[in-house]
Amino acid sequence: MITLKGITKIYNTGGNKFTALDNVNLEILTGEFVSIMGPSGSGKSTLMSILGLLEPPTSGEYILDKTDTSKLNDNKLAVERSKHIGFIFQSFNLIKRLSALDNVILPVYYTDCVISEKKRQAIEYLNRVGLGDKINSKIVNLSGGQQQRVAIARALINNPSFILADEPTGNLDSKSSIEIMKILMEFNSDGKTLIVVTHDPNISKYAKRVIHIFDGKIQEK
Amino acid sequence: MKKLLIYISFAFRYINNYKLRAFLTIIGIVIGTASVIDVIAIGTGASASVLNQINSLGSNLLIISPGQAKQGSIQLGAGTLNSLTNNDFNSIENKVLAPEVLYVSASSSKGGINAIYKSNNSVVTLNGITPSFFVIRNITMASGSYITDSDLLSGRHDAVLGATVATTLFGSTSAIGKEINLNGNIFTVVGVANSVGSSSSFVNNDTQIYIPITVFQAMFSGNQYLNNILVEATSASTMTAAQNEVTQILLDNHHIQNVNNADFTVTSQTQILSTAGSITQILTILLSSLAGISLVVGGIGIMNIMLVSVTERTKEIGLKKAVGAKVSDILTEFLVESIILTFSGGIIGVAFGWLIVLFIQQVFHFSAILSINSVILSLSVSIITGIIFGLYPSFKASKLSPLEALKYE
Repeated sequence: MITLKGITKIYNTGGNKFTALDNVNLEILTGEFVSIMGPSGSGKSTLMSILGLLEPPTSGEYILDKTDTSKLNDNKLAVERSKHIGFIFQSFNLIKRLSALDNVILPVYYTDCVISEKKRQAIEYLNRVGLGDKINSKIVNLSGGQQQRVAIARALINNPSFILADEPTGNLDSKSSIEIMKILMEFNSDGKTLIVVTHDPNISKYAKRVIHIFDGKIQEK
Repeated sequence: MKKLLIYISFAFRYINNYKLRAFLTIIGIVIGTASVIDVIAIGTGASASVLNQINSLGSNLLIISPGQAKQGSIQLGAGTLNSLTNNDFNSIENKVLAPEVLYVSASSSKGGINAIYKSNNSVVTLNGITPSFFVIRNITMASGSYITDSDLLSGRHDAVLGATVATTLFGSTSAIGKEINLNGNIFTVVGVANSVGSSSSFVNNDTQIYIPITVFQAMFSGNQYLNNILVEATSASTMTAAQNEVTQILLDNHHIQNVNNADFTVTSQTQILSTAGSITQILTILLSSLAGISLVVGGIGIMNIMLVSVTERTKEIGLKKAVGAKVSDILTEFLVESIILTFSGGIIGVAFGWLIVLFIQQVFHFSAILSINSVILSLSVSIITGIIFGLYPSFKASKLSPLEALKYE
C-alpha cells in the first residue's frame, strides 16, 4: 500500500521558489489501477518522481508498504526501488546495445536473486507480452510498441509492489497504445498495482480510479 | 564475487560493442607497457652481459692499471701514465712480499697490428703477456700450446691466436706451426685459443694475438712499461689482503709515501662488478621511468574516454539507478571497465614487448632478458593505472542523480 501524507515539493531555481506539489495526501491500495492526470506543469511528473523514490519530497511522509521512505539514504532507496517499483518510461529507456532478454533481466543484477531462475521468468514475461520470438533481438531492431513491451517485462521482473508508468503510450501510435494498455490491464487484473501518469484522457479511461492534479494540488474524481 | 563477475561481463559486453574505440583507447597503455617491458629486458640483458664479461675476466681478480698522465695542466685518462714496469711485476710475483697472490700476469697491448698469412690478413690487437695470463683469464687452447716461461726467456717469436683470427687467417686448416707476419715480423703459431663466444665485450679475446711480453717490449713497444698487471688472489676471502699487499709493493717500488698520491690504481673484480651493476641498474630505472611516462599518458587517455563514456551513458546510469543500482554498483561497474581496459592493454603490451624482445634477440643478437618480474610489474602498473584514471569518471557516474540522469538528452 502507498500512503502520501502532506507531501510538498518546492524547487529552488535561481533564488526563485516554485511549489510543484502542495500538501498532497494520497492512498493507493494494492491491486488498484490508478491514473494520475494533469496538464503540462501541473506537478504530475514530480508526483511520479516522488512515488518512484527518484527524488525526495521537501516535506511530508511517503509510506511504502509500512516503510517510511523519508528516513532512507540513497542506497536504501535503491533497494526499495528494486523491491517495490517497476518503471515504465515514455521513451522506454532500454539499453540499445543489449538484447530484449538482457534488458528485461537488468534489474535482477542489483538483487540477490539467482540470474538463471530469473532468466526463465524473463522469457515467460516476454512470451506474455507477445515477444516470444524476439527474445534475443537487439533493441534497435524492435518497433516502438515492441520496445515498450520489453520495458513492461523489465518492470515486472523483480515482482514489484506496483508498476509506475510515465506516459507509457506517449511515443506510440494509437494501435500500439491500445495493445500496451491491454497488456498493462492484464497484469493489473492479475493483482499488480498500476499507477499510470498521463495527460491523455484516452489512456486514463482504462483506469478504475483517476486522480487529477492541477498546480500541485490533487483533485480526485 | 557474484556481482564482480556480473560487472566483468557488463564491461566485456560494452567493450565488445565498441571494439575500435576500446582498441584506440588502450594503445597508450599497450605502448607504455611494451616500452617498460623492453627497457627492463634490454637493461637486464645488458647488465647480465656486462657482469658476465667482467666475471669472464677471471676469478678473485685484481686489476692494476697505471695512473693518469698529465699533459700540461690537463689530466689525461686512466692508464695513460707509464708507471707500471717489469720490476713491479717481478716484485708482486715474489711470494714473500705477496703471500696472498696466487697468480700474477703482466700484459701490454697494441691495436691495429696487421696479421698476414699468405693472402689472408686480419687487423688485430697484439698482446704481450706472461704465461699466467691464460690461467688468470681462463683462456684455454683449442689446439697447440700456451706461451711458456721458456718462450719469454729465450725471446722466441711464438704466437697464440684468438679463435676468430685463426679462422680468418687459416680457415679450416690447422694454424699450428705455420708462420704469420705481424707488421713485418715473422711469428710461429704455437696455439689457437678456444672461442670465448664474446661479441660485445670490452675486450674480444677472439680477435687477439698473444706473444711473449719480452718479445712485445723488444719489437713493438720499445720500453719496459706495462699496460696492466693482473693478479689472482689465493681465495675470495683474501682479496683485500692481496689488494693491500700489491698496493704496498707498488708504493714501495715507486717511492710513494701516501697512498693518495699513488700513480697506479688497484681495482678488484668485485668493485668493477658492483660499479657496473649500479650503473646498469640506474640506467634501467631511469629508462623504465621514462617509458613509464607513456603509461601515464595512456592512463590520461583512458580517463578521457571513460569520461566521454559516462556522459554518453548518463541515461543508462539513470535507468540502472532507477531499477535498483546503488552508488557502489555504478562505481564498481565503471571501475571494473577501466581496469579491464588497462589490464587488456597491459596484456597486449606484454605480448608486444615480448615480440620486440624476440626481434632484438634474433636481429641484433643481443641477449635482452624478459623477466617474469618485469611482466608482473607492468601488469600491476596497468591495473593501478586503470584504478587511478578510472576512479574519477566512475565516481562521477556513481554520483549522478537517477532523476537528472534519466532526463539527460
